[in-house]
Amino acid sequence: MTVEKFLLNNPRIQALRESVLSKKPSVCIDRARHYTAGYKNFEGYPVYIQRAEAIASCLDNMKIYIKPQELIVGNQAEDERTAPIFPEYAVDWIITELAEQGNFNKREGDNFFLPEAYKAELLDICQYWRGKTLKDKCMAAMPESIRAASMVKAIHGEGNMTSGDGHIVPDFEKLLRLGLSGIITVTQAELVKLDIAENDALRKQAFWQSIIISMQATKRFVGRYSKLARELAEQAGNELRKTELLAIAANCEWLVSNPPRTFHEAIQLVWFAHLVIQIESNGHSASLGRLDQYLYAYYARDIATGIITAAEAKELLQCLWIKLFSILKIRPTSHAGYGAGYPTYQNVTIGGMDSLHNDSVNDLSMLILDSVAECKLTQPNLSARVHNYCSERFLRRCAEVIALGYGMPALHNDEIIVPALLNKGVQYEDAYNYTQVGCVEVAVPGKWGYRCTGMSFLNIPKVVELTINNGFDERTGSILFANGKTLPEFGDYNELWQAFSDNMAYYTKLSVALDKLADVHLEQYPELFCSALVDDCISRGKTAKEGGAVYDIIAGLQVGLANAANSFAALKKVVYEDQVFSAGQVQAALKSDFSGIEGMRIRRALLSVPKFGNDEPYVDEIALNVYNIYINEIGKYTNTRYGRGPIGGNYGLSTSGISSNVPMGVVTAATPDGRKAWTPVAEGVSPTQGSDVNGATSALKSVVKLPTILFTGGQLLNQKFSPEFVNNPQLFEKFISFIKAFIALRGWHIQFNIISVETLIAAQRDPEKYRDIIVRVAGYCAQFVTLDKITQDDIIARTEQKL
Amino acid sequence: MKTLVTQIERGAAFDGPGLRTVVFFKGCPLRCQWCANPETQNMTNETYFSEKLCMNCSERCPKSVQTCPTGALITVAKEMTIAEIVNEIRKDEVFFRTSGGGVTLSGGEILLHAKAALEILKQCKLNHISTAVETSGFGLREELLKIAKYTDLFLFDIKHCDSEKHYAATGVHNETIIDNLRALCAVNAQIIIRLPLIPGINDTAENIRQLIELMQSLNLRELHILPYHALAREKYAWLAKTHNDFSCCDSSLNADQIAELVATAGINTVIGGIN
Repeated sequence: MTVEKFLLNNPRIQALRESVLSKKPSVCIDRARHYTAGYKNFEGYPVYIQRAEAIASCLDNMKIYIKPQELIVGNQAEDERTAPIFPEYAVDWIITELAEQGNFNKREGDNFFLPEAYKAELLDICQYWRGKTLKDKCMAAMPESIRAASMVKAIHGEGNMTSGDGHIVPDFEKLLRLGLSGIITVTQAELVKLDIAENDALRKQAFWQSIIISMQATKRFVGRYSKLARELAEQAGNELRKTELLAIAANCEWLVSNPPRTFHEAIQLVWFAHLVIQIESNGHSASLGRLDQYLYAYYARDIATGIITAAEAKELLQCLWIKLFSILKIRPTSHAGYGAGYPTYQNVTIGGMDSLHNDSVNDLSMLILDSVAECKLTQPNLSARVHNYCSERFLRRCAEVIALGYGMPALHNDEIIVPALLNKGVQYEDAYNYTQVGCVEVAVPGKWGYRCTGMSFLNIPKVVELTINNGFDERTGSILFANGKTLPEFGDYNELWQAFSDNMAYYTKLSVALDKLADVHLEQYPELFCSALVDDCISRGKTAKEGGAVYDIIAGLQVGLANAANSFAALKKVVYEDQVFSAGQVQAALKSDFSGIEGMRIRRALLSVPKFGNDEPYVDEIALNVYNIYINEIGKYTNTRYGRGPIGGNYGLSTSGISSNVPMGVVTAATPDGRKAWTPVAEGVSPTQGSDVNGATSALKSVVKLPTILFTGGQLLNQKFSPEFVNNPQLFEKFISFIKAFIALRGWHIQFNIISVETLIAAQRDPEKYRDIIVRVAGYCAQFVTLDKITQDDIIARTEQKL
Repeated sequence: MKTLVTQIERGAAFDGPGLRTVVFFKGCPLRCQWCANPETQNMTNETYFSEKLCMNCSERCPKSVQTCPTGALITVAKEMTIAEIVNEIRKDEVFFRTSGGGVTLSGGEILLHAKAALEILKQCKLNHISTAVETSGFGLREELLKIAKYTDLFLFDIKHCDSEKHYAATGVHNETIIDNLRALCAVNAQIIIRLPLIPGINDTAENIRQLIELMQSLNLRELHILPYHALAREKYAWLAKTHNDFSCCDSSLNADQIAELVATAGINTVIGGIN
């Protein structure tokens, strides 16, 4: 085997890639300006109409550009890597950060530059929105208990109150089949059928009208690019570029009124739709779904008729990847740490099997894989569906791309995900047609509501801390749920466990209430364009948020499972079974953050108890028990769409906590697993940093002991391998067999960091030089050098698996 | 029956085909000057002491692993029953199946633990787990032959072909070892010869010539050359033993040169010992 390097040789893509990589992340107020104007002009109208007209105002007036050499056109903001502002969700953070820092470019990580010229106008816009934003409304209605628990950071839901939902895959297949005009036709048919004397008729009428307004605005938006391309063609210096621009103009012109005919047109339409969704809402994880499946017919036809070569198709795909990478979202500093590294989680899923257990991999799947590997960008977030029927060719190609050390593709296992969906009541064919959304969560494309994961975060180690301190939070000095006892006062382990269960029940309930707080108010910020592409929104006359989707199962994010499990294992063994130290001694050590000889001695004893991730039944069973508490509690609750149409209307589980393990850890005192105060907690279901000493096989074995089939919101396992593993042909074979064992063991998801610790340390010292190092930070890829130091250190600390 | 085990390494990529679980026994009759696992030499348990971690917290340190606050004192090996060891091995059966891997018993020297080793191997075979044994070959022949019945692959060290030099370097002569090798060949055991390549000790053209002769005479076709490394340095310090560093010794032939010589004799060579 020679090691495939996947070099990028296409000069056009090289140039476009360099352009997008060299752009410093910035902020643009174009959207805020036009959106606000549209909103103001339609005050008093139904909110559907007001929102549709606002997006129309934006699409009609925002600055558009076509960069030299581009083949796929359409921009989100005035330049690449420039974040628009979405004032309707929250403005308080803008006002505060500008007052305190003067700009957004002095943050520790995820910096953005706001040109001075925009500042006054932006603040002006913010003034209009004060009191009208989603966050304002949520805060006004927030119960005291949620406020307190959020302050303590036992729960965290800021992302849901400062942005739209995202986390959705629209029905691209339908859009490609019908075109923009076709969607309008379908919607008009509903309007014609409407009996206006019906109780809900006027609301429905406004909803359908607003879809038509959004679609027509999108058509005009596409038309603007056609016109611009034609203008540029006239000025074009060389004939080749002129031809290209005229082709772009013709593509766009056709797409204004028709469904696409060619691969090129199809990609262009997919991009426009994705782009409008990105402009409509600032939720992240809007994803493209199974691109290799719904684009394949166009690809195969164009290849067969000679309209396109595989190389040209690859170039178009790469133009799309650069477009995806050009998208940026700015979040409040206070929330940025939960998803560090400019993530947008625009997922593309390839591979998988169909309901007859045929391998769905086609030539386009392979081309997507290669094209992503050559680009080596953090977007798209590429996921490969693998399974027992997976072709060796595809599996090996995936492994070869993983070997590059860019963390992609992440592998997702049909063998557990399909049964998990069936278990949730998803129809047979639909379950096999699942796609990844964002990072590790799954949905049926075009049929699932928002946020199959991405609801509130639950900080489990914090719940442990509060349990053993009778609800007292040391960091803020506040007292929350009091169970009546501190650690030394519990009579035995069972009593301690019962108190923890009670605490978990309390905070789970609060996390659901926090979800509902955001969801109820988000209904006042409907997304019309997006809803038009989610079944059965149009026929039900409802947005996805109002219960328009066929399926609606959501998940919050449970963070730090391993720390909680390790904490209880350590207390059980050290205090209650072996009685090496008393509960009082442990409590004192925790309070002092294990200082002094005695503190260190106690920490040693706690650390020496088996840790989750080493395939040790003692602690793995406790991990399962911790999760079972949550499973029982969350099973009692529904979401705001329950009974309003969708199948589900309830919760799944998810550990796809992105990089939340860092901010959740820095607010949590020392825990009985021996974790020092204010340091990161464990990420996803991965073992705590540096504790998975038995190697990668045991980490995987531990993780699959959890009830994976219930994790429709995704389960996340990061494994770091040394580079020799994939560079040595014999070791590469063993790497492949490790992946096959992952499939056989029915793990949900696995992703690999193949990079040396030395390289990462070097990258910390010399970021400029290591700009293209990409690491997985829990479920997505980020440029290592853009992360803040604490996250970088966290990545370095994770055990380097020798395997 | 309890056995001292220093480590059970799971997901190992070396020491046999596929992904393996390697069990390290404690106790060895040889004292190879370059030994990379000095903690496996003594039959009895020992304590590692790390000066770096020790913070001299007490003048009357009880040298107790249990009360050491920093982890500067650590017990080297763990007593395990056969059932516990087999249970640990079986945990990775799925990985054995997908990779063609299995268990490797290693040392120390397993022939010093022949009874336990035999029992573990028998139980592994009952469970259809592929087995490998890493040995110096120094031990009782009848034990070795009993073990051979349950062993799919031997990784058999020939540290030196000259008995006197073997004695000087390891503390034992090599006649028993070579006789045992012949005995294993006679029962058609699968064998890979391993040469830990130690600069200035066994890297001479003469030794290699003799090794080739020996292998040819026994129709052995596979040699793994394990280049010297000094990674055990810290372990020696923890055991308060002297570490002999061979890194800087004058070498006669390097691994590549030896591989070339051996290849011309029709023997397959792998440097680094990955199957």
